[in-house]
Amino acid sequence: VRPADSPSPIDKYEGDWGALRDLAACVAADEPDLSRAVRLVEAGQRRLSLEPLGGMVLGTPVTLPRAALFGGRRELIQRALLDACLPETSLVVELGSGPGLNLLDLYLWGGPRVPYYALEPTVAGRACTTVLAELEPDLDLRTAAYDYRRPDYGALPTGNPHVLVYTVQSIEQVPLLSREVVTGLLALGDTVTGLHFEPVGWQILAEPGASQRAYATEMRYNRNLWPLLQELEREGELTIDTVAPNIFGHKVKNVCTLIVWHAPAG
Amino acid sequence: MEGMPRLDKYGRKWERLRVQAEQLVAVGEHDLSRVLRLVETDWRSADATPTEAPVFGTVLRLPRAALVGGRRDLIARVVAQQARAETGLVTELGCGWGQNLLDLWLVGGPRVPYFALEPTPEGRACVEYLAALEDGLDLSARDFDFEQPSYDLPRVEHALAFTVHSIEQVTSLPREAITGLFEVGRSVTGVHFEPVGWQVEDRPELAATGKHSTKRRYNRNLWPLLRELEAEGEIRIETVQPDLIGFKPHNASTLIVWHR
Repeated sequence: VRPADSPSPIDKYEGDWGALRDLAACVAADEPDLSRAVRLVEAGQRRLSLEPLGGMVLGTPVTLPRAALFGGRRELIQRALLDACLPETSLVVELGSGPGLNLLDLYLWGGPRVPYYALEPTVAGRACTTVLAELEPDLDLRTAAYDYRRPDYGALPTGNPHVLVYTVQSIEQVPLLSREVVTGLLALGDTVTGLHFEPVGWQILAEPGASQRAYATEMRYNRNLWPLLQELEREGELTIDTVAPNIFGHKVKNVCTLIVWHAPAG
Repeated sequence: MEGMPRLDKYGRKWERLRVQAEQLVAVGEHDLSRVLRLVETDWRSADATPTEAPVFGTVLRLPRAALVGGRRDLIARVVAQQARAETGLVTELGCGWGQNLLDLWLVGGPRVPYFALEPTPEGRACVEYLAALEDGLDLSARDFDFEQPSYDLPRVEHALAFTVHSIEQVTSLPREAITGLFEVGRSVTGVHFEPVGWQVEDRPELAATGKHSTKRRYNRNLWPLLRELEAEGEIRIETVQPDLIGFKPHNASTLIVWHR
């Protein structure tokens, strides 16, 4: 189990995203094109090579070239997000957006031309997002501080016809997610679609992989997203549309599950 | 080019993609990445449907989207990594509608002139239309025939040339398709993603692509030709990775990288 005196996830990520923010600033100084800048930053973050890398896909261990594993993961996330958008989508929100690459990619992949909000606990993550987003004048991407332990959506516009809100391996950092993290989103729009790409397959499967459960325990990762969503579904707050356990992961022991829900239920 | 009717088939595909791009621009899209990804969505279905794919010579099941994006990124990153400070141009031989060249640019490929060599006028029109969306991209399309290769390109310090499943369409590649490139740069790097693993190694795992290539009269001499040029001291083959990745188990791309 992660030692109690180890740095908090926020402190750790302030360091990680701080390094990426500095890289982004260097890249953006010479590279005015958003796509090129994002991909160059990504190449600095991941070694995108031919080197074989083990991962897990559709519940099965696989070995892919590193560049293909990370590119495949990104594509799967982006296509799922695009599929979740509706013609009336007027707001896109990522909770725990880190350096902002998922939101930036959504725009680059042809996502809706609406305000994007990057809600992120770390100062460095928000700064990295801003440095890159400012390269594209047509992109309306704003950042706001966010704390999963005290979820506050006051920075977001309300009265939306449809809101897409999603998470990519950020809820994993929250051992016990409060129900207000989800229920607080439901007031943002007439309809809300939630999408999660989180390592919670072990919470779902009747015979979960021992290594995924052990890793989540060791890292003090989230242990209640799936039960919470099921509880909200039983209460009639939302409807779960899709659950694809262990669909993709660049670590066998930390493979992500795709969950999509919508509210109001029905 | 043997199998010339295929050019008509591809021409019609590239024309359709250009029309789609024009329709997107007509409704307000003008960002190259957004237009390219939206057109690609129609060109390659990219959802989570499990799909069989060859990777490192083994057939895996991947969500279709992961295969499409993973293959695209792998090609772009591998080509980009062959660029050097002295690279003066990039060219793709048989570039189709231009997606590979445009993706190379979008991942941060070198800011040098890009030359899209393509037999079909519809492919050349599509890549030029898309490239014109991006102010910083210097891309020209040129007519090209693998069977009568002519490289009317500026001579540079280092030229980076690549192919992606275009040599596959040429049953017997003329030696000049490779040697003609030697005049383009004081040094030249060639990168090929072509279904020729069965030419490299005779083992059961690679046989499916060989069988399909024979049936479709796909290329049968790229690897022997490159080996011949290496034996003559003309090039040095740096990398060969049979059946690295592919959309179909029977048409897997083998990666070959050579230098001169």
